Amino acid sequence: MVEHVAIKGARGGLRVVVNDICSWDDAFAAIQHQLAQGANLFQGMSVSFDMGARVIDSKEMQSLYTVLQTYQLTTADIQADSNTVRQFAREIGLVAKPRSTTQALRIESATPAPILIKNLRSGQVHKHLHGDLTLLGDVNAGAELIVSGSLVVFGRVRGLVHAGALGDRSAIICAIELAATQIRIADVRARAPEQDGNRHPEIACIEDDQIIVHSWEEYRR
Amino acid sequence: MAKVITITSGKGGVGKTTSTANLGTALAGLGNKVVVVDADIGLRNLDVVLGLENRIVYDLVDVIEGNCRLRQALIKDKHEAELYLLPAAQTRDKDAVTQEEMIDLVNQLREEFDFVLIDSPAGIESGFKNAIVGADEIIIVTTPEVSAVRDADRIIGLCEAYEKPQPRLILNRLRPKMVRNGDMMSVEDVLQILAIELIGIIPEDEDVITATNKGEVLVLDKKSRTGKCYIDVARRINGEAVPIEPIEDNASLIERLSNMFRGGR
Repeated sequence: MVEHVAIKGARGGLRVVVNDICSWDDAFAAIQHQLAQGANLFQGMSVSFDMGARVIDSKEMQSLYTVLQTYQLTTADIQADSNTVRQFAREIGLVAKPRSTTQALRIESATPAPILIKNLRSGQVHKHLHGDLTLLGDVNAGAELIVSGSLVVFGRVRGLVHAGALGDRSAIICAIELAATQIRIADVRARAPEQDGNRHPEIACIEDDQIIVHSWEEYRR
Repeated sequence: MAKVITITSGKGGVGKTTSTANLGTALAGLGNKVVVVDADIGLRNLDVVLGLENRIVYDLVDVIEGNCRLRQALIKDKHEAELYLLPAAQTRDKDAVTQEEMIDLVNQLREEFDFVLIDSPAGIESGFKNAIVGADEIIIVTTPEVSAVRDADRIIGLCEAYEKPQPRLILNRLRPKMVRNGDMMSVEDVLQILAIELIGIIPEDEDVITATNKGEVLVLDKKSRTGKCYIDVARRINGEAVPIEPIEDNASLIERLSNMFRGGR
């Protein structure tokens, strides 16, 4: 199946690449669906649209704009090959640019995995939508750590961790102590079992549509 | 140079006001000129705990609004010659003061005192922000309960966001027996979560309630173990290296014997 729309983390926000071969109805439905799924995650972020070679009319542009407003997203720009599409975008006050293929390439190839040294405390939310992240510190109860790739925590996790936040089900979460209140990978959620044993390093991943937590020793074999 | 210290907690009822009153008295007893400021506008308490309620003429809001001079609003303590109280207004609310006005006020107090202790309101709203905005140091009071520790963690995060130095911790109302039985978080449990410097442990003590009701503070009671703990915290604030000793309770003979047989202390 061809993806109708792909959402990616980009510098300072999201980049939505719209398939330019399928029907607009399908693409538009996919955009609505994806934004609804990530509504909490995306709220307040800026979005850059890549329309490819697709041509849409001013009414369709207007309905796209309405959806963005519904989810409280700011529109950074609309990139399109078609001059008419760019014209429609400008008419409703959006920034429109010709498509920059170089930028698209750079985002996809550059996925550095930075190291963040910090204790995330109750009420603090850290989002990293550029791929993998290593945290040197704890994620305390009431804190949230959200990454688009995989997550390695060299510390204790007691709060909420979400890996593969843009839909990557192959993402994993490793921690020295994985006592998270909730673990999320892509669209799958799991609650930690309510037992307090001796904690050891663990790795969480998706197996058969479920989040499975392995001890590190087990996982190596 | 004066040091401005805010005592805060997030959660209410964990002992901010009691701690402020005791630390203020103890710091004055160590020879410092101290002012304690009640920043809990609309819900003032510090005056009651110090037994100075009936001496209030002007308050913090009066000073900020220019109804009186700062000196007129400062109330001299009944016991310590070098301790003063700047009471909160009771008939106003948190919006009566802005952050800029608080900074101005604190800077005026800096010129007159060695220590300015600010008693913060509970919560994380404007009253809390007003209380920490002018602080050089922050002391967090928590009890060994999950909810209080969670709120303390939130406050530490907010202090980071306001670019304040990392707060230090007073662990209040510890019950050694409950900790031994595994029914209460231990000092280590709390420090493992909060990961900040401990500046004192205060035991659970019914005398605090009696003293508060009478408008007295325990640091003035030479026999009080709790008072001694607060004096030690004050000495640490004062820059002395006073080691933090674990709180022992009066364990029964049988308990002590059974501990010995188990190879414990």
